[in-house]
Amino acid sequence: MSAARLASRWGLLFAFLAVFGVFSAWVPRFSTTGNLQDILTSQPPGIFLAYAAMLVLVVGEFDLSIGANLGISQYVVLKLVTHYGLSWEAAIVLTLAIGVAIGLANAVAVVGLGINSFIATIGIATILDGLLQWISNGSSPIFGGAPHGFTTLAQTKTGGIVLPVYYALVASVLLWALLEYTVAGRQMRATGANRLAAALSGIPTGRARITAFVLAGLLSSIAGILVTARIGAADATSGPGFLLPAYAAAFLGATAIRPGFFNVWGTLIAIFLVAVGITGLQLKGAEAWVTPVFNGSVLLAAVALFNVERTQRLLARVRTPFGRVRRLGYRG
Amino acid sequence: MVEALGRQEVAAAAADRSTTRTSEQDVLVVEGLECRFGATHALRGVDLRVGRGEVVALLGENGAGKSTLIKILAGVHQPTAGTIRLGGDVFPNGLTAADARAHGLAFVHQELGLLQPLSVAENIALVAGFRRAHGLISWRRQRAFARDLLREWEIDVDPAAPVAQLEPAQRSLVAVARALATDARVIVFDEPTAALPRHDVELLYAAVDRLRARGVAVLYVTHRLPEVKRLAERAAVLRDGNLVGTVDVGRTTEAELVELIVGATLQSHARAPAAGLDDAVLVLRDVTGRGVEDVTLTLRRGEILALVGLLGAGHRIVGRIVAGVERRRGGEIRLEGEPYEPRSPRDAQRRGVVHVPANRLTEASFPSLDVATNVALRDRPRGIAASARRERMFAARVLAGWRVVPAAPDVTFARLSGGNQQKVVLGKWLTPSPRVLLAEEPTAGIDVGTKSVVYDRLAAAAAQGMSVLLLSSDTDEVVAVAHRAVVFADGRQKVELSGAELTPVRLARECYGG
Repeated sequence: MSAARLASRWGLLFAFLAVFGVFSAWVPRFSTTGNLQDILTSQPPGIFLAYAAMLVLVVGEFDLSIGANLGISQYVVLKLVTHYGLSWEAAIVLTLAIGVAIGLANAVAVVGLGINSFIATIGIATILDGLLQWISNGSSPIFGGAPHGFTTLAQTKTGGIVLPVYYALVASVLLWALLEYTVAGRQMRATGANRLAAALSGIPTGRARITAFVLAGLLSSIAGILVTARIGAADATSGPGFLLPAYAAAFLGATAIRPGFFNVWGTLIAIFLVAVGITGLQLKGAEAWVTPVFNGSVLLAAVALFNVERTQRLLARVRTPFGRVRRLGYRG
Repeated sequence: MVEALGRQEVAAAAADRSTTRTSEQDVLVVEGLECRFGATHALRGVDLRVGRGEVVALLGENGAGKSTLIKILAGVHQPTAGTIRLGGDVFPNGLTAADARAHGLAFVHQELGLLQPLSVAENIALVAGFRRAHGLISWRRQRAFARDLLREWEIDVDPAAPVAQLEPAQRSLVAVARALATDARVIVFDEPTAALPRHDVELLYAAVDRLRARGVAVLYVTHRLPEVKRLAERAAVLRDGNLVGTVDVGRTTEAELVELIVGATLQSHARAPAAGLDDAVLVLRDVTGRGVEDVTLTLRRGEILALVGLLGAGHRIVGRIVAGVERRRGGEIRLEGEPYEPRSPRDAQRRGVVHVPANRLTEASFPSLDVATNVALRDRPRGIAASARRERMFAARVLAGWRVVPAAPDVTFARLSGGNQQKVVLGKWLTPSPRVLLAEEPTAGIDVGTKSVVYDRLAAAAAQGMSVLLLSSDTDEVVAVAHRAVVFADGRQKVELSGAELTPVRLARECYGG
């Protein structure tokens, strides 16, 4: 493998190690066990949400409702326990079902009605925001009272690391296997690569996209539940803030490991790169406004890098007698 | 390897069984096929048979019904009437995509239908099925399967390489091999060479020959007649949805085929002599740009000058510099004696230099807009098409002048057939004729009839004083319409051909040879 390809493949990991190294040397409190545990503890919801974003990007669509889905899930799961007397287990099952239903609604809008996914999922997200206002109407947007069993899900430590980190690792392995080693996963990838060519090859592109939206709904909902379980309280306003960092991670992740493709391990590295950067800056005394500026910059840089990566890969030697890349089309 | 061979023997045995069930050796039989879309009668009772080890060419102008027929076979459209027989199985109401696949019908689509970013092995698997172990995909076995298949077809590519990195010819071979991996008994090729460089098509032809030897039935759709002569035993010709004839290719001349396709004898394009030597319109002196060096050319009034070369030879850059798409780095250009340095295509148009790009749908038109808007969207001389009403009138004039079917300004551009789309694009820029026309691949992927119209119009406009720079990879086309041709290689002009020297063979030799 050429040096350039190695660099492209592992560049993000090197960047992570470099940032980590710089902050370790520069900020005394950075590399303490306590701080590293803090960083780990706060990542799992973001990881699940980034995977939701990534799966839909794999099939060539966008899902901008994942933030709203997280918001409604983290609120509803606690409200079901505190206001409707459900056991926390039942509340989780019901919340996951709501997450799946949101994914199905996106699928119906995009695959069934043929609405552009960008628009459709913004529409669904707006509806979800409205519903959340309705549910939380009259009560404080923030409330606690999470039962002990529920919070142990997120707060119990094994080997010094909270359980959600393990959930995230399991999810990573499962999604990686889905995308790389199952026919359904490859069909999703093919659908995103070129929907028309995939359909002509006999691939069920509708089913692949529905699968992606439904899984994204489920993952967003898990992310929401983990937020509530970690804090022990629900916050009706917290969803939207998670959306763009998830996309930043997915795009940044697509520049590594399998450059040019949205992929699980790249996304995971990207999450930690961003987390380490932000934590380091905060420990160094950066004010609150630095975080969104940092996140936005990372998103732009990630998409720019992703475009360069994909363009280089595709344009390398794709030439026809008529010039550059020709778009595949079935002319009538 | 063993596994692949074994599967083919099974396939061959299956083909044998099926033929014993039919009355003849025909693997694919289409009878009385009709297809209507609303008021349009796309197919009117078409009969077609393709036998074991036979190659049948399917010919016809754009809009004659070829694509409809193929889409019915692929299960995309359903026929209104008629039956399809595959082996011994009869489908009275059309096929589904699953039927087609299950009964050994495979397709190599127009632009191959390959997924560019994915690997060769994966592209094969997406059609032929993934090799699995313990329920999960085994990439080791998948690559081994692909490697065996590629080796069997003597295709020298790495199964793990992304399709985007293959040469066009390799891609077409991968598409063929992939179709065969499904144990296909009938393979339908839909203009497989349309996007291939000339010197690569032989590889594809060899693959078709091997299919024939193996007893696969081949239905081959093409616009290129030499290809028909080279490959097919029989040719079925469609015109306006009717099967106008099935002929024995060995006993039919190209001229007779053309006559069947267009329904009338094609006139030869007599080359009008270009105007006097001193009447230079566009002069390039030592022009240097990205990938071209020291180009010195003179385009005279009423002259059609072809710039020819392989990919990357630099002739296209010269075209882009003249069109104002790209900037030159050195040298000088004069247009009618005045210094000419266009900063943009708009700038070039204002000086009377018009560029018609090669790729109709992505560069030369607005497919989702109506024809009138397509015609109007240009920087045009003052006074023409200033209002919607005048836009429509102007479009109607272009449509009538170029005999576009349907001649309706409010039809969406994308709904026209390829040939009619090209007429609209050229008609738009040639009404009125510009001073200099820069035509890139003006007849790529269009039918013989439209080609003939395009050549006539170019010749007529040139006779009226328009100068043409023709950028074409179709050597027959260059010989048919150009007065002179300049061959480029490695960013430099190599040789100029005209008169008796300007032949397809000589052009090809200069392009490809040393």
